[in-house]
Amino acid sequence: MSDKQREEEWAERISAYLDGEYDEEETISAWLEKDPGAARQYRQYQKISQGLKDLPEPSASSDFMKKIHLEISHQKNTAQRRRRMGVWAAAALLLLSFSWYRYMIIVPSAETPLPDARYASGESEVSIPAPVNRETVETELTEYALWTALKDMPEGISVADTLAQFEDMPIEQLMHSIAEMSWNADDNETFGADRVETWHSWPFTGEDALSDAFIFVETLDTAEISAFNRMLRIVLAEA
Amino acid sequence: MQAFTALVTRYQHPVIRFCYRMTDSMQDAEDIAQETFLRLYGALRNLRPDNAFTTVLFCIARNAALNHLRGRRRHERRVSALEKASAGESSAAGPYEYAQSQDNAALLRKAVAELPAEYREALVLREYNGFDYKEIAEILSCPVGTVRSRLARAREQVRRHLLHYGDDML
Repeated sequence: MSDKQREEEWAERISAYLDGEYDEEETISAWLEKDPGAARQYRQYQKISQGLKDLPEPSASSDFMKKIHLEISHQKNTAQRRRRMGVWAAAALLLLSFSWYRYMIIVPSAETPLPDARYASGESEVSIPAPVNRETVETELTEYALWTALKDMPEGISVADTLAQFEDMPIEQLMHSIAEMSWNADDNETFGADRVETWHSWPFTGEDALSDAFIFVETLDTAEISAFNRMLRIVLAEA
Repeated sequence: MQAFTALVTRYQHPVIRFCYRMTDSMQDAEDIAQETFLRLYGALRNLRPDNAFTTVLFCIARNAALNHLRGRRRHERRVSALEKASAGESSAAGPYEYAQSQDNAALLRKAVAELPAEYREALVLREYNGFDYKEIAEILSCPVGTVRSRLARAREQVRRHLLHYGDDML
């Protein structure tokens, strides 16, 4: 143990003894009686302690308590104001959220077409175009296509009668029936074997059925058209 | 609020005394004491029966004082306060002359003010506020042995300071 460490230990013992916090007081008392240096140090510590206790007491200003009360009131008011502001902010946020939701759901977007000006002007009669019926269009086209093919029908055959029964027959069924008939009939020579085979192999189904039938009729020569018309009438009559 | 007022009335002097010895400035001491009681007011609901009230109070005061001392212009404030004290309590103009004036009280105050904060708080709590080692250890959140050594070093530094600037007191 160095001298400095020893000095610190002595100082610590003397200090604790002065404060009444040293367990072996009798040992210290005996040591202080024997060691004049330690005794002097102890007395100096006593004087310092007494001197510190004798220092003038600081006194608080007269408005110390008032300042504390004011500050507490201020803090309470601030807290209340913050709480109130929090409530208002929450309410505003709620309102804003509701408005946004309403705007996004109910108000039309830029892509939504604006109402017709006629509605705004208060006109009572507004002509609304009839909805497009695809079946009607297809039927009309089919009629036109077949009419093109049948326009040169031989006299004595009523085209009106043929078309009257044509409305309810799908083009696929019609064409396949004619193809079947032509395949089994003796008219192969009229149509030609390759023509009949092609005709029979064509599907005439789906979206292309009508256009296929139209193209087929358009390829027929006059003799073939006569044969086709005859068979068409038979098919429609059977149907 | 009345109970809290009674509490402040009872403890304001010990707290201000502690803060004053820690900062050596009456204005700072009042500010720190005020902050201490405000913090205490906020912490009253969280106080538990097993917490000694004075220990909690001085723990708050000590933290507030240390924060203050760590604050800006710590050194300037201390010097300024010492100069004010010098001007008020002695006719000497500067610190050196003030030390030479052999004003024991001022010399003692200066010696305490120049102690490191950890020594000074232990000495103040012991000498001015009369806490025992165990209580000081609780306030400073350190072992009793540390309190004992810090107190001894504080006293020894004060003693050397006084011996250096004039041993009339000793």
